[in-house]
Amino acid sequence: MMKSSRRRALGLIAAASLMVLPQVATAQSYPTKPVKIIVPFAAGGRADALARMLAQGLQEQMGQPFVVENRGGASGSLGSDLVAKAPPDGYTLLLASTGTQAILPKITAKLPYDADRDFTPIALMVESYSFIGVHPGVKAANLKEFVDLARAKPGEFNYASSGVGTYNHFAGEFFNIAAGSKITHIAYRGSGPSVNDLVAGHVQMMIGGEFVEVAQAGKVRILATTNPQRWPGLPDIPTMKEAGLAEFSAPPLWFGLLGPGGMPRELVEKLNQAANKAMSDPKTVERVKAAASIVRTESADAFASLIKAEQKAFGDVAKQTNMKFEE
Amino acid sequence: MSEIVQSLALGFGVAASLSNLWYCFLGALIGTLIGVLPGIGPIATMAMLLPLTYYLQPTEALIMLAGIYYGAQYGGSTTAVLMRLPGESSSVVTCLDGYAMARKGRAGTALATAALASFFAGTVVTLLIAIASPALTELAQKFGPAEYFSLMALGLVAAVVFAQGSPLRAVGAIFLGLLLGLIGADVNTGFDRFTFDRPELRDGIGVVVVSMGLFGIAEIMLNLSGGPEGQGERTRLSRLWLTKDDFRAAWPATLRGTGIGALLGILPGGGAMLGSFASYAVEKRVSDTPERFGEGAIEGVAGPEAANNAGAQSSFIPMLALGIPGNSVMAMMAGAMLIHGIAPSPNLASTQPQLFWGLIASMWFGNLMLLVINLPLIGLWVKLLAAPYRMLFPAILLFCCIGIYTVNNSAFEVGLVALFGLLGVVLAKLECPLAPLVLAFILGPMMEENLRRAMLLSRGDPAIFLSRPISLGLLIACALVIALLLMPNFRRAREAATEA
Repeated sequence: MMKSSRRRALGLIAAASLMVLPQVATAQSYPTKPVKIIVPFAAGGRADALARMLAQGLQEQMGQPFVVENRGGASGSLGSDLVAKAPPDGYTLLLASTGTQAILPKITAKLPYDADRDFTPIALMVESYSFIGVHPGVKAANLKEFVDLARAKPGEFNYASSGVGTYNHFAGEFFNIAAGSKITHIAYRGSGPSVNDLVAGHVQMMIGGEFVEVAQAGKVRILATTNPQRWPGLPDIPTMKEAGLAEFSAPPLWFGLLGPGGMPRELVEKLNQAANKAMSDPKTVERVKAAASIVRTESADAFASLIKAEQKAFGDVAKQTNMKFEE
Repeated sequence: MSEIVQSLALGFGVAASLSNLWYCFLGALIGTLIGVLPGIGPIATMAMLLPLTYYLQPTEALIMLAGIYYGAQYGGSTTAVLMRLPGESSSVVTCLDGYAMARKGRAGTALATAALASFFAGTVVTLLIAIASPALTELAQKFGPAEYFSLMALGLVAAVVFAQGSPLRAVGAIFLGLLLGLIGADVNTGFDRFTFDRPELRDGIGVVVVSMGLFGIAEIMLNLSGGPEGQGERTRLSRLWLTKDDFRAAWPATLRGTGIGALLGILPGGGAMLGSFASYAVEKRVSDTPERFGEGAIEGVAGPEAANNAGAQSSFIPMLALGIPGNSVMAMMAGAMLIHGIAPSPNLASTQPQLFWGLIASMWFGNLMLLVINLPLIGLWVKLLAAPYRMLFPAILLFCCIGIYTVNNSAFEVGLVALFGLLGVVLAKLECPLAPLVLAFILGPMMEENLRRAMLLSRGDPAIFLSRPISLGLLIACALVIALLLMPNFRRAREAATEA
């Protein structure tokens, strides 16, 4: 603890000394050299695809290359750490998610950075839709029947996640809390194997957005969307509230752009507007929709308070279910 | 049947267009090159090229990316044969007999065998994908955690087959491999194990890091410590092609390897890699002269090379038939589709028939191109061996470092490779076999993960492994292998006892 706070203090001093020099004037002329967008996950995933769409849009608007760099590992904390320790000059940015900003800080004490102080929220880019899906063999035609079934048979069902402490995992626990059910968590390594076992019926339930296409072919039954609004792509699927489980309170999954802590206000504003404009491009909107998501354009402040609210929500559930990475 | 012929005709029509042929060739060529370069693998390459595919048609993009993946399986064997450096993790097995063949001046033969076996496997599995994807997917779906565990157990028991000489050392290597595999966050709890607070170790150590260090780097150190006379024999080369006897020996091995690789490749999560190990184990088992294995048996090259190419291609099946990416390469393919606004789904064949069948047909063209690219290159590669070693090894080391660094942009992993190189030297001096170690390293984590997952699903009842027929069958096979392993010794001991 001592050590980490001292390191943090050193980091702050370093950051402060860097801030003195070239700031103020930079927002006007920014960017004067290529900008790095760090994706803290492996290439090929949703975050990676988004970062590349964003990079393309920003590049067109700002006339400098925006280079996407994948720095996967340790649930996103390796890549996030690089940005946390980078100078807040706007030349190192992070494509973060609910996982890296709201969940990870609540389940591990070993993060090499402070999730609040070391980052500046810039733009909320995308809200991804999640759904509660069950194997077609489960005898429940709608959410209410499934909740009743799960309550009646505690310990009988399992739900899949793409790993401990992932969004799927938390969403499953939010469900257990809301429904008063005891569905057992089964962790997988990534979303491919988890969806595979849901389709095969080795597990009965999963909450996520990874199986929408599979569900449309009838291999998974979607009972409700866990986002506050219905997804335009599946207008007949009710929200949790509409389907009778208003107690379910998991915040939706998002992807957004952040920078190192202490970025100058003008720079944040400039990037926020540019990112929002890039994401509003009709072609980008279409592509985002194909991945069961919608584009969200908000102010940087709204994004910051959203992160705060989510940290609390996930923190509460982590405490309640004793979910954490260290013994 | 006529429907499939029609669909394939459509596919060949799409794949034979000039632009698609070009991207197929480009993918195959890039794949070969990165396969040859140690460390840098298809995943890193596809990741780097992903943004470029943004500007291509989706079919072109997928054809090129697919070409990179199976092209790398061809190229990966090259350095495995020439310098005992597995270009890809799937060519670890080829290091064993391929390199032994090269040391006997048969590098050209080994490379030709690898290329021909890969081509055969690629052609067969392309057809298999076209005809049997749905049925095979259904079979793969029957594999739950219990079945996986039993399959892995069988694999681990079979690992002893890789042992040359003392089975005790093989068992020791297996345990070392298992221990190394434990490093990283535990999938079931998320707790760190043996990570020494290094966040880089949370995801475990990469197979490429381990195999490159143990095989390639260690071999360089051993060569350098051996003095100049040890290197003389590597340049002696006779012929580049296979003799009639070679063909006769390689043919059945290729056939078996194709079957084994295709089946294991369908299983999501690392199945493709296991194919080459399984094929090697089978070849050694069925051979009348198992002692030749490790000394340059051509079956030990043909089988595993066919298997890894078959596996690489059949791992497309769950992705194409179900829309579920089974491994990280397939996840990358899914990512490429998403960039173009196409979501991978079970309905891909009906919603995007041009793309679906075009991609499948392109695999056959790709394999043909790979054969055409690779056969003439053999002469060139073998000439490379004639270069003085003192010029060769710094270049190899440099490529290794670049390759490893590009995988995760991590200098830490370059250091790890060096560490495993040292371990490789120590193990070589102790005459410990490396293949069982690598196999256990790959299998161990999967086996543990599935054991615990199966036990969680059964709420702690171990009967789950015996009550499910496939799992039971695999466990019985396991028991048989153990019995077979013990029997000769047992018999010999008994004979010795009765004679005395």
